[in-house]
Amino acid sequence: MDEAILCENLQRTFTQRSLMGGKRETVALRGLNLSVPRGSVFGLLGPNGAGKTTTVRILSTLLTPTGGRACVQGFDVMKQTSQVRRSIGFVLGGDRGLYGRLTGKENLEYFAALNHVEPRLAKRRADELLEKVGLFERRDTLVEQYSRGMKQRLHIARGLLTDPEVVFMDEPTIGLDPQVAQEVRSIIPQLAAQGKTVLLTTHYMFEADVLCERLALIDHGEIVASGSPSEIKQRVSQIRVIELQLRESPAGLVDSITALPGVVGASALPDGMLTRLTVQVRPNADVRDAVLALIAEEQLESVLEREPTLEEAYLSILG
Amino acid sequence: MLRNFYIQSVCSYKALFNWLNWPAFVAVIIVTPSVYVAMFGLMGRFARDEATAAAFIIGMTANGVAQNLSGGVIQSLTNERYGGTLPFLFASRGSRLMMFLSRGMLHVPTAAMSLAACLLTATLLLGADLGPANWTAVLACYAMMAVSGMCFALCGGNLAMSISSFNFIYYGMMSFFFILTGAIIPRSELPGVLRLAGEVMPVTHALEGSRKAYEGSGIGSIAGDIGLEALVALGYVVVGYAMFRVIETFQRRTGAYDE
Repeated sequence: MDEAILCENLQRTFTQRSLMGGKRETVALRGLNLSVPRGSVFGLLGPNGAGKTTTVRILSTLLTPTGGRACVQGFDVMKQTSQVRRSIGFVLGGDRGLYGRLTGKENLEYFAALNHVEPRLAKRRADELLEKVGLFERRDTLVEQYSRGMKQRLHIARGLLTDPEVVFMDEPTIGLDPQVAQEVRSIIPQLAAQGKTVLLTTHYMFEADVLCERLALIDHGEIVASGSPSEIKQRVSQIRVIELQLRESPAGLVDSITALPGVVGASALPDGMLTRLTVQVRPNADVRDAVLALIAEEQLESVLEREPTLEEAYLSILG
Repeated sequence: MLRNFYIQSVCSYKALFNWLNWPAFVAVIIVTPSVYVAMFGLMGRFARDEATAAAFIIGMTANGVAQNLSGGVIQSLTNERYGGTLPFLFASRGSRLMMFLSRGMLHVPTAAMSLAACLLTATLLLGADLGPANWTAVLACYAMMAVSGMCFALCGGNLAMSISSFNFIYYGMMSFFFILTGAIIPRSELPGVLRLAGEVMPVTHALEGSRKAYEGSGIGSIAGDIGLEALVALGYVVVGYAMFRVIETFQRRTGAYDE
């Protein structure tokens, strides 16, 4: 068995019943197939409501699927829940899920007791993890006094308390300031180096690009693309990108460029004092000169041609 | 295992009990039950006689023991949902029975504070004469009352957790304590259905026992009352635990308690 996580035709439909007897069904997963190799960092990307969190909740035994099968470390999440729970840790993003009136250390010792970690080992592990996530100095502070970033780091420490073989991280850096997000991200390769399997859901393309060996793009409860980040980028290699930095962007420029033959799309965004103009063109279309002809020489700061980023690939695949 | 239970009891008490701060603790656990005892004691004395005052004092003391304890236990369960910690309980390997009982355990000693406050108010402020009381029997009744109150509140806590409303369940339960247990209105005066409902309420039987113990009856004479109270407690803890497991299963099936 090479997969740490396996989903076969995984389905989940949420049903809401009203008092008047009405029924409303929302399909969150429609036959999701996923295979995550052991010891890898795997990214699950998709827009809000795509089914990422539902997948994580099913894999962490919090929710039962309405169809299909899911296994973690070879154990079925429906039939072998206690074995699955023994092998996993999970980190949910957000402010909730911790006890605000306990200290960081008490939170960890409590959750260790809940998961049958022997008390002496729990104390040692709590200290080690608090050190690892940079909260050791604040271990005796009540969690309600922690900042959002500190809470998120405590979430991570809690997820690793039982030294799990598989770690689910559901948007672990959401809402964090860049420095804290970077600190949180730095923990993930360390886990992979220890042979742990990490399933990461995220909205941040650069995060997935840097951290994940393999990715799956999920939309409307289905995997629409999967592979390594470079493979996914190659899927949209029929597109080239011309990126220009302009001192100023004349009105109507984007529309004029979009109208050129061979141009797939164009967008202009502020970039400090400048404007960054991104033009997506078909590979055989020679439109560079035509684009430059629309821009006065004194307006142009720089121009470069490059491969699409993961974000552009994501947008191209998911529309 | 005992250590695990101890850690869970202490942590859940500290983490989930809203009144565990000096202003709230003094106001809710000490002052409120004392005020009830003083008010009903004085009312009984003013409206009728010393015997009525004593009956009200004993009734409201029992009420004070059960009422505040119930509030704490219900908070312990509803706050798991409010705080978003429920998924981490349900995805843990911990014993569900231990998890369930530990959320009520430390509220039993808290009830002793309310009891002490009520008795001090009765004797020092109202000058009530508790002279012939058999204190061993009286305290045994209150201990059993606290345990059955905890079991009842664990049951109610499940409901509060599932509908995400502390107030609705807590104040509903308080009304039952007032009306059905014989704390104020003698049970013989209740209509048939309500009298029957009082039989399965916590406090009822231990309160009857305590009234006898205040008149000097020993443990042997009130063993039947304590036994009935213990049966009521056992019934609630069994039902409550079954509800807790049903909630867990329902949550896994529907994801209804995620928010």
